[in-house]
Amino acid sequence: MADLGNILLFFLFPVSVFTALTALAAGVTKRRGLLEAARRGAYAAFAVTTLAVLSLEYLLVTSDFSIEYVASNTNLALPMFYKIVALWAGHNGSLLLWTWIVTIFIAIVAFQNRRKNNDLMPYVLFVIASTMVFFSILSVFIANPFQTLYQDLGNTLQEFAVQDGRGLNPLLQHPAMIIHPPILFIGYVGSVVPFAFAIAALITGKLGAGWIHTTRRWALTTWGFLAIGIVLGGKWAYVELGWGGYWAWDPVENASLLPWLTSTAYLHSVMIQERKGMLKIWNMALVIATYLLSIFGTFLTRSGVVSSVHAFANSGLGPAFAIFLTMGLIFSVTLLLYRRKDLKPDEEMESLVSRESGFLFNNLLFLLATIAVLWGTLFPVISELFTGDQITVGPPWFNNIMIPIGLALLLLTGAGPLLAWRHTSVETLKRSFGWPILGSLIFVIILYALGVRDGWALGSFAIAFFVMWTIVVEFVKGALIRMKNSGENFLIALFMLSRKNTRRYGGYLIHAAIVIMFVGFTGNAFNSETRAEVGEGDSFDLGSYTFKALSIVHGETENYSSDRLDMELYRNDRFITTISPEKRFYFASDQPSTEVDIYSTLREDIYAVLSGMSNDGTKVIVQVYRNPLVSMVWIGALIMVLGTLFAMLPNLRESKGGSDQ
Amino acid sequence: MSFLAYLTGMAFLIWIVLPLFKKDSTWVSLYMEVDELADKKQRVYGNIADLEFDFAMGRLSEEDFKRIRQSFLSEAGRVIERLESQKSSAFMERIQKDISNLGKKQKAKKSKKGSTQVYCIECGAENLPEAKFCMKCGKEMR
Repeated sequence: MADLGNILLFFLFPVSVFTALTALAAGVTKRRGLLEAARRGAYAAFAVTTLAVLSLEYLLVTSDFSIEYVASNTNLALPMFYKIVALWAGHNGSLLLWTWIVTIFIAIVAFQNRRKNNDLMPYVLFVIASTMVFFSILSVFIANPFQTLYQDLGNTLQEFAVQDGRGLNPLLQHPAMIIHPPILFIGYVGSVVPFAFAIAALITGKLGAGWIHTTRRWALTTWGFLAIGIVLGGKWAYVELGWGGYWAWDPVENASLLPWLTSTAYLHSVMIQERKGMLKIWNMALVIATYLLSIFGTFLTRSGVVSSVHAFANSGLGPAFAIFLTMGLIFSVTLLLYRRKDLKPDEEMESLVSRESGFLFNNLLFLLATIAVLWGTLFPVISELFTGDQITVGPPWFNNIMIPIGLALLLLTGAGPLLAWRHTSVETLKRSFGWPILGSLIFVIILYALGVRDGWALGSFAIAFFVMWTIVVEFVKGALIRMKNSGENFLIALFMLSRKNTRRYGGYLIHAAIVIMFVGFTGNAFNSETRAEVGEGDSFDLGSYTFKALSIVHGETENYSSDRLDMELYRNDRFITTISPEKRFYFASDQPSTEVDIYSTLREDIYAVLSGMSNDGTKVIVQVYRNPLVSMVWIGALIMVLGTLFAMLPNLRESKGGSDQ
Repeated sequence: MSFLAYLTGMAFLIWIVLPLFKKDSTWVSLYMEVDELADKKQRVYGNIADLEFDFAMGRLSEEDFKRIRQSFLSEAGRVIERLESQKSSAFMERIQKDISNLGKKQKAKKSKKGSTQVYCIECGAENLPEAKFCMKCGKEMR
């Protein structure tokens, strides 16, 4: 089976090259046969890679320990479920997953456009196939997951198999692990599709709205996947890493945030192009940046350039990625410069107070955020270049910069949609902003009276309140106007209104979700924690909570041994629940792992970690955190998913002469 | 088993490269200016819809609304006018091209099947094989 997998994977390289070349030739000659061959090449790449993935799955499931990848990422006692997902637990396997997703996407794009976009398609296929060529080189020659174990016998190499594998990294033995990597990868890889269409538009000179329309859903989908992937990563870090938080500005987290920032900027600025024919170069640049940052993110995780919790050790992929990135950058920038005259804006900006200027500020802020995160992430590398030492900038540095940018963006989220296109007069400004501003001021005064003193937090809550108000007003006012015109009742009017412009109202839903998430982020200002050494029967306090240690339980399964502390949790002397943090020791991988226990409510999370044990085993060290408003982050993320799905629905058209607003 | 896999693989390979050997046609790029104008028309319509929505939501004054709406309407008029004229000229061009392509194809057909060509026994003029009368002298063909 390993041979079969290897052969299949080996075929991917010539197939990718064939697809890229025939596609390019099709673009030049405009011959249908060549394009059809390229299309079939794309399907073939998908088929071959799918079979290779299945072969690797077979090896993982049957625990074939003569394969290096299987031996280092699974063991016999590992539950079947984790054996299956171990496909993306290790370095080489996750690279295969990456490659597989590229081939899935090229096949989908080839199929979707089999009868349209003939002018763009050759170059679209060429660009995606080139990416495929690169990843097939990596998977086949540098990071082959079908590599067998062998020992050096002086003059010959002999293959052998181990009795049992080293097991899956305990940190990865968590349900979020099943979905987090593939979802994030889909987000990363998906950026190749808008990129390929943008490049095709640049090459063919068909720079109109065509490529934007074709890739609108792709851009939105991959944006959504990236967002979910990032949040799931945060969730996983929160429940699995055991340090009490969900985001630490770790290089790998930043790597996923970077393309998300540029693609969010793109989703907004593209609206200016659609309405005013402006920012054409900028939009192209954002699409290109998103793709390159996605590759860069993969590079960061794979190369070991920057040390991080989940970066894989130095794997020799660095130079390959560096070359590919540089080539991509030079190629796209050259094209962009070559076409810069054709990308001139059709109209000019008319007024500083207008929707389009709102979008401009939004883009400026996203650009700033991208640069800041990029700078902070690469700072260790840059400082090493100049001083010889790796100086890491920590979370405080990021927070100092990103909190103001984030709040400014949040403010724009509320203000932007209230501005009219082209021109907004002072009179209408007063009308739109008066009540929301007054409302949020009163809200802040109430919060202050209730004892909230943190300046940033007050600011954040005020802005959140303001934005939420404007969003609700958007829905309600729109529905009321529709009611008047159509005679429908309020709920139906609300539904019809949103279904008739899913992009607008889906966008508002996403804005609302972001507001809720920001409320969750702001909760960080009020975190508190304590640490205690307790034996059975001891108790300790955190704020209004009291913890009573009941018992310390030792247990063992075939996969790991564990110690668990059962505590009763009281609030103002009223019993709430029992909470049981656990520490595990995995045999196969010889690694400890903390299993935190979280009591979560809308208001706050109580988060308990068992961090150590006294030598005689009668006392344990337990760390508890009180994290207000964390649930808001997850709730916001869920609403964001719904909003994204809603925005992708096609607009409802009214057949009978209903009023069209 | 492995023979079967080998066979499947080969069949697959042939399927992929087959289109390369097919004698085939090229596609014609659509006329670009029409695309561009169509984009523009779409844009003006979108702008008008947005403007009306913004006005209904009270985001701009009646004065601004009327002024901007007027400018959009006249822009829409201009774009549609140009689009129509471009479209018809693009169609004409397309028809011209198709006709000349058709001519080429028939010529190719003719030269391929040279034996089926017919000549008038009276004046020697070349005629279509299905001709009943010579198109030069009018003599009945046999």
